[in-house]
Order: sequence, then structure tokens, then C-alpha cells
Amino acid sequence: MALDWRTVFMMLPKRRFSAAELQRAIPDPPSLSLKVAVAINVIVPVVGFTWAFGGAHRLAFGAVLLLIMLVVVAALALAWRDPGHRIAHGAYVTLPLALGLGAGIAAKVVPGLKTTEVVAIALIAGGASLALWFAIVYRHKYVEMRLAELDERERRVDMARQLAQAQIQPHFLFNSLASLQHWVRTRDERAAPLLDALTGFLRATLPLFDRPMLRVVDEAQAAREYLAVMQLRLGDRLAWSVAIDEGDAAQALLPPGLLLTLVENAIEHGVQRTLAGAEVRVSAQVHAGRLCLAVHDTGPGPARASADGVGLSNARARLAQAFGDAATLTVQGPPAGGCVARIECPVLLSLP
Amino acid sequence: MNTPTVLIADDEEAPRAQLLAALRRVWPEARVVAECVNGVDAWDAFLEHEPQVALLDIRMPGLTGIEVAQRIAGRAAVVFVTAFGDHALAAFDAGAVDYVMKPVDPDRLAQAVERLRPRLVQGAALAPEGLQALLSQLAGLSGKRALLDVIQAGVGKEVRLIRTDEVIYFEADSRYTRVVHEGGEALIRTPLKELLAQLDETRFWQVHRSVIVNQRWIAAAVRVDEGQMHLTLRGRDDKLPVSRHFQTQFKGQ
Repeated sequence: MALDWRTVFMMLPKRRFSAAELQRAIPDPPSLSLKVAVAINVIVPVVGFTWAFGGAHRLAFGAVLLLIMLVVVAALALAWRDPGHRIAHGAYVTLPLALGLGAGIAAKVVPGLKTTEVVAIALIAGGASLALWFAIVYRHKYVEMRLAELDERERRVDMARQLAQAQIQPHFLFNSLASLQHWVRTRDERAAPLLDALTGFLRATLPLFDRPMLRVVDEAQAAREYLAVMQLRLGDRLAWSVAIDEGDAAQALLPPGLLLTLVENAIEHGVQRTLAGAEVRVSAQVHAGRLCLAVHDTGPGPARASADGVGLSNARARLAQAFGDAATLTVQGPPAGGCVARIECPVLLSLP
Repeated sequence: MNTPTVLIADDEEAPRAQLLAALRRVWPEARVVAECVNGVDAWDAFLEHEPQVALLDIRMPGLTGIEVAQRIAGRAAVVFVTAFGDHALAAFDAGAVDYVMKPVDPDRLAQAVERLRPRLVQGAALAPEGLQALLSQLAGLSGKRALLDVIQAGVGKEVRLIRTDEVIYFEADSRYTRVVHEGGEALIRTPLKELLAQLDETRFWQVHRSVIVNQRWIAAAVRVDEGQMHLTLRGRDDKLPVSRHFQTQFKGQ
């Protein structure tokens, strides 16, 4: 394993941040309180050290101290704004070296320089180094965590937006309305059941957005209404059944919209693409302590080497968010034909 | 003036009926020659009736509306009928493609009809330029269809498996499709128009409403007289007719 000399010598984090990342993580300049605190921490030691240790050239000594402090503060300010900045990291190493060396040389060259003055400068050098190291490490960690937090928040917002899109497919809605409109106008008796099913579907789906988890039995109800709408639209091209085992299988919690996404996929890829139509069977059972949800269609089967669509990859992400590695979502074409989409996950009966 | 002929296609009953009703209202002089329930029907009906206008739903089983329009290749004016949220809409807005949204608004349909009317005059181009390129781009977006590898043909008590590679040609034969292959012949129940959607179109060329041929076996296209052409096959005596629509794919380089 190669030694990382930066870590060996400097014990500083390696990651550098881009300007955009810094802007995102630290949008505001340092607060006034912080500036005042820094000012006090500069003035008090300078005045104190000058008064306590100053010798013959007390004023010059004070001025040198102040100058050193200002350089340290500049480096601190830089580290605060960009904890990955090269110059800030460099200052953490070079400042104490330069100050130590400077103090050593001054002790030999400047006549009448007191030992206490040299020690005071060495102390300040050590203190400055420590302060810089602390500022860089602390601030670096802060920016890293803040960025991760913002990423996570954006991912959640994104997911919620995708969920909203996944739930109300405009294509589905307008196609259903097209049928409804025609049947109302022609006084077809299918208009009333279609309106009922569509209303039921919207009533069951709209609250999905506000809930983190939904019981299988509620989600299955949304799927039933959806299938009822499609049944009216597609006529004998669609046959369907929903069989949810009573007990834990019905009461188990799932991220909302998962089952519905699988059913929509079965309709879109299994039934609507088949000339003769197909059958969709939905089932939920508990097997060996795990919830097994399956959506089976007798359509053409999954296309070879096909990538997940938006709905499916979104469903996978939501499943992983809720259960981590404990849940799986598989889509397979069994030898007998058709397509089976299966979710297996732990049986979760209440939110922790 | 001759009566404009129209084909409409939608896989759902109600939108199809609604489109038909709206069309009758806004364009009473047009004659609807075919009402199709899927893409393969639409393409077959186009070959049969040769309408001047095709109103096509986009999402249909068999062939999508886009794929049907691609095959029509400018020989009819195409208007797409689709619901909001279709991926193709953005491309349509940018291109010269006409479309109406479902539920169909009669005023909007009348506008589309008004726009295509001048194109129906003898000799005018039925499709705007660049349409084919746009359609092939859109057809690619909707993903690859599942292709048939093996054909299962019942012969007496056995079911024979014929690899599509070994098929020489398919021919529609009243209620059956005749499969002529390297090892003989068989009859299957799947109609030719449905087979068409499951074959690789770069290898299997449709040359007639009732004939699809494996291009590997074509020896020559022979022009008999004005408007008539047939294909001769390698090492076989069969002659296959090429109907007018498909003759353009045989042109010397």
C-alpha cells in the first residue's frame, strides 16, 4: 500500500471542493458574531503578550505580533470559505515553520530581544498551526456532510416528484376520459361504471403522495380500480384477478405506488401490446416470514436484454429506500410464457 | 371530384367510435374505407384499400401508429391521434407532423382536415418532407419488438419447429399462412399480417399484401410489363408477385 505523504505530514483531508459545491454548502459569508469573536481572539493575545513579554522594543514587538495574527486570520478565513484550498493547507505547514525560523533568527540578530518575546512568538506559531488545523478539519467535515445532506434531500424531492408522475399517468387519464366522453354522448351504459371506476382510482391514488407507507390491501384497492377502468376500455382483451391473502399479507406496509406500477407495466407491456389481449393476475402472500407480491401477465414476456423503464427503476429505488438489501424486485419471463414481476420483502406491520 | 378515402385506426373501441363520429361531422364527403383495431390491421387495410388519408392512434398492438406511418411512406396523408403525455408529441410539435389529441375535439379535427385537403389534389406530395426521417427516429425510441425465432407448425399429430432463418417465404392462403422453408412446407394459423410484426424487416421483405420473402433467397426482380413485377428465387422454380407498392424497393444501383 502506498503511503500518502499529505496525510503523513499534514493529517489533512484530501478532497477538494468545486466552486459550485462550496456555493451550495456555504452560501452565506461568516456571521458578524463570528467576526467579532475572531477580532477578540486577535486583540487580546496581541495586547496581553505585548504588555506581559515586551522588552525594549515593545511597540515594534506588538506590531510584529499583530502582523503575524493578521496573516493567521487571513489563512483561517480562507480555510473557512474553502477548507480544501491548497493555500490554506500550505499555510498550516509553512506558517509555524516560518514563524519558528523567524523567531530563531531574530533571537540571534536583533540586539536586546528578550527570550520571553521569542517564546511568545513560538507560542503564537504553535497556536496558529493548531487553530488552522482544527478550522480546516472541522470545516471540511462540515462541508462534506452538508453536501451529502443536500444530495439526500434533493433525491427525496426527486423521488416524490417521480412518484407523483408515476401515479397519475396523463396518457391513462386522457384515454379514459376519451372513452368516457364518447359513452356519455352516445348514452352507452358503460359510462356509469367507467366513471365509478375512474373516481375510485383517483380517490385511492391521490392520497398516496402524503404517506410514506401504505397497507397492501389499500394499494390493492387502487390496482383493482385501475384494472376495472382498463377492463371497460379494453373489453375482452383483458381478463384480471386480484388475490390478496388475509392477515399479514393484507396488512403489511409497502412504499406507496409499487404494486400499481407493476400492474400498469403488465397492462402496458403485456396486454396492450398483444393483438389477442392477455390476462393479469395479482397476488399477495406471506411465505416463510416474507411478503411476496406477484403480478403475472400472459403477454409476450419481457423483451430480451431490456433496461428498466422509469416506473420500474423508480420502484426499485423506493423499495431499496424502505428496506435496503432486504427487499428484491425481479421481472422474469417464465418458460410457460408471459411475464412475472415479483416483490419480496420483510413483513412490516407498523412503522418503527 | 373524387371522394376522399380515409382509414382510421385505434385499438380501443370508444376512442375509435368517437373519432369516426367526429370525422363524419366535420368531413361528411369523406368515405371511411377501413376501421382498424390494431397496427397490423391498419397496414393490411392500407394495402387493400389504398386510402388517401390515414388517422392513426400511436400506441397500438402489432405495429405502432408510427411504424404504420413509416410503412405507408408518404403514400397517404397521415394524421396521428394520441392522448396527452405521449413521448412523440414533442417531436411532432417540432416537425411537420399533424396530430389531434384525444379526446378528439371536432374543431381541431376540422382544422387538421382543412390542412390536408390541398394535399389530396392529384400529384401533390401527401407527406411533408423529412417525415420519414422523423418517423424512423421515433420508431427507434419506442424500443425493440420481440422477434420470432421459431415457428411452430402443426403437421398431423406432430408440431414441427421451423427456425425463421430457414424460411424461404410466407404466403397468405385464405385462412392460413403457407410457410415455405428449406425442409418443405407447412401451414400455420397465424395470419400473415400478424407475422409481419414479429419478423426482422431487414431480412424479411414484404413484397405483396400476401407475400413476405426472406431476402437471402431472392435471385432477381423481373419486370414483366408496366406495373407488373415478380421475383425469382435461388434454385427454386417459384415466382413471387411484387405488387405496385413494393416495387420501388427493387431499383438497380
